[in-house]
Amino acid sequence: MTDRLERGEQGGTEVISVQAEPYDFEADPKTAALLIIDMQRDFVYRGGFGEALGNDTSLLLKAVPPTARVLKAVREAGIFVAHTREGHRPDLSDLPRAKKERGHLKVGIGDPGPMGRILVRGEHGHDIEVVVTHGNGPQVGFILLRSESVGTSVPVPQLSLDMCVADSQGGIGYILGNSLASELGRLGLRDRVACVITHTVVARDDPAFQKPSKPIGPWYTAEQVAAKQRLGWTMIEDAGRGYRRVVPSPQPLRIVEVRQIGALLEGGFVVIAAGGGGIPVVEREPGVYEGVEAVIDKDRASGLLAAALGIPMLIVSTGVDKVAVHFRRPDQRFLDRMTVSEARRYLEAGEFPPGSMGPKIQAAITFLEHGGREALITSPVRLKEAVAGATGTRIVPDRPA
Amino acid sequence: MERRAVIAVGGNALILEGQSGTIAEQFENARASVRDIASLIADGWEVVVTHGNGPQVGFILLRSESVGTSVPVPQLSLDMCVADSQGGIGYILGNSLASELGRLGLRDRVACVITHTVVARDDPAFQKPSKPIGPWYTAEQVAAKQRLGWTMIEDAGRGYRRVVPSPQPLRIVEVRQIGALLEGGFVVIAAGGGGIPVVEREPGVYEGVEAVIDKDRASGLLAAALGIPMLIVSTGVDKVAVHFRRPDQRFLDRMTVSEARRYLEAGEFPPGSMGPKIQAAITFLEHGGREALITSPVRLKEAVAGATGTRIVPDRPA
Repeated sequence: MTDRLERGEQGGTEVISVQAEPYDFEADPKTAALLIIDMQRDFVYRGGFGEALGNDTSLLLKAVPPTARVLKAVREAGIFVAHTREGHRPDLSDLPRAKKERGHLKVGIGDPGPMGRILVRGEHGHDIEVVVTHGNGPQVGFILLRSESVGTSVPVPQLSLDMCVADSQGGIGYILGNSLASELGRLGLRDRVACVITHTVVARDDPAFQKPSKPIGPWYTAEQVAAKQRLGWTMIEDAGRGYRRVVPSPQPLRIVEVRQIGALLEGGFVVIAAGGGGIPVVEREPGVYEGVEAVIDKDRASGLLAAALGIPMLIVSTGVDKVAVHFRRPDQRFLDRMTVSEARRYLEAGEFPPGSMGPKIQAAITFLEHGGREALITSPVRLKEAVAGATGTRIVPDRPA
Repeated sequence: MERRAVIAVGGNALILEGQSGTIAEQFENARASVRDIASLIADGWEVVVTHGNGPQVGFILLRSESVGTSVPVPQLSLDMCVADSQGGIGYILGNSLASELGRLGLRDRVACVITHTVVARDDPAFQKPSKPIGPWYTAEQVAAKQRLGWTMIEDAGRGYRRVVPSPQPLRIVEVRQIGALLEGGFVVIAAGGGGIPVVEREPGVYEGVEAVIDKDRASGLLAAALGIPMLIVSTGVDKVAVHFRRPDQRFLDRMTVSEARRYLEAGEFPPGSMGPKIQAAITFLEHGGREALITSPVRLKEAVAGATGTRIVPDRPA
């Protein structure tokens, strides 16, 4: 099928013409429907029922982008869409014995697998998921700047950097969560969003504490830099957009709320988490945390979270549709795809500046090294197209799994 | 009764009388406030913690208004301030509770959910600000603040405060999300500051409005929606008193909904202080709640065991 449906009229009735294999056909959009079958984790991901049947799931995953294109075209045409999933009751009372025993599988319906019990309702493998993470560079800087600017002129407490991150998770969680919930509400999916305040563990002796590198807050002109440095701020030039204050950005070691996020995903909710990379904490003893003054790179935290949740795809949504090498030079070249090894080579060659594309590429590498299947870097407005394969830069393991 | 409760912690509980509310003070007070809650959880209680944000939301608003256009930062609307405060207080309370549970061997059991609360666009409260926020001011400072357009009231004997609109909460948006986390065995922090106030423009489509919702009312609503039988309101006193701060002051162990309503109508519980807590308890019990308990955070466990606190119960025991 093509990406667009041709519309026309026939005897006063609207018809759509569809180019398809094995033959082209026409249909009335009022009475036609698109039926999508079995696009659930248990069938298309490794460790599910599809693999238990002996299928090569990487071939199944290849069907996802073209199916997504068809879905998009059909939705735009206002045609009814139905999805089916196979899910049995937890007590398997609706599973006929013949089906349970079919194939004499070692691992079959109802058995535990990496995505929960296979083909059982409410389990991870029964559903399709999204986790949204977000950065907070400008916003955390605004909060810190408000706090520092008022000083002691009004009776309010001064905020530490970890408090600013926490405030920004609330604020951005509201902006993103309310926008996403409302957009889903318009699509008939009501109250499906959950935003979780997230903590990220770092090492107290991370060398980043001695070497601030993460840009926050507004952009300043070259003329303003000296005055800011006199306040004790570390300033850097930021990706050609001016100068910015930088703060320590230690390596994220662990996301504290992974199981909480997993429980919400299993409940069928879209989760917003790891805002601003998470509130930075050190773990003093198991489960006992103390905040530290830093801001964690959200892309690295996202990669860590996706890997911990066993999510196969990390999407980094940024200011560009695709990643470029020789960026802003005459020989600039946009990349469709690179392997982890290629990405690491470009990174070492200085192709991706720190504080900009560098951390995103590093996050993708970390994610793929921890079991991720594919990282996709693209812009928010072309995200859906990019997922379908039409744009974006894909980073993949050296040897396809 | 089942061991399930919504515990509402006051925003003031994080800032004690005489303190300015530094972050270090708020963390220290939070650690004291959550000790009994953690102990109940270790005893097998299923708990949702809600919290106020009166001082903190006022600090955030005051920072935003004070910097004005002197630095390049956006001005915050009141609903944005509530959202920021959910993040900040969620961190202070959540980190304190998680760490206390960690010491008891219950690791990483806390989940804090950003929560939205639906209100009516035509709620009369938008015309009549009543909810105190921010720092306390002296009588001498009141006139200057009023000139800024602020509505000021005297607040429970601790000085004067700015008040903002506080519409009735109609529905908590994230009830099912909170329920899923409870079922997963997590302790949930939710409905911070009563929830971010939104109006529902069409089903599932929300828009923020400038207000602060009473956290006790929102907590009662949440408990009822989750089918949780007990609402615990943790506040500055061990027990509720009638004839408060008068020679014939008397502390109450227990009252029925009807008695509570009579005291409320007789003006025993001042608005902006004990009044909304009693009102929240009444509403909760009218919507299926079994018991409301009002006490202080440090005596919470004793109160649950029956040794202190004031209980409010339905007229006829269920």
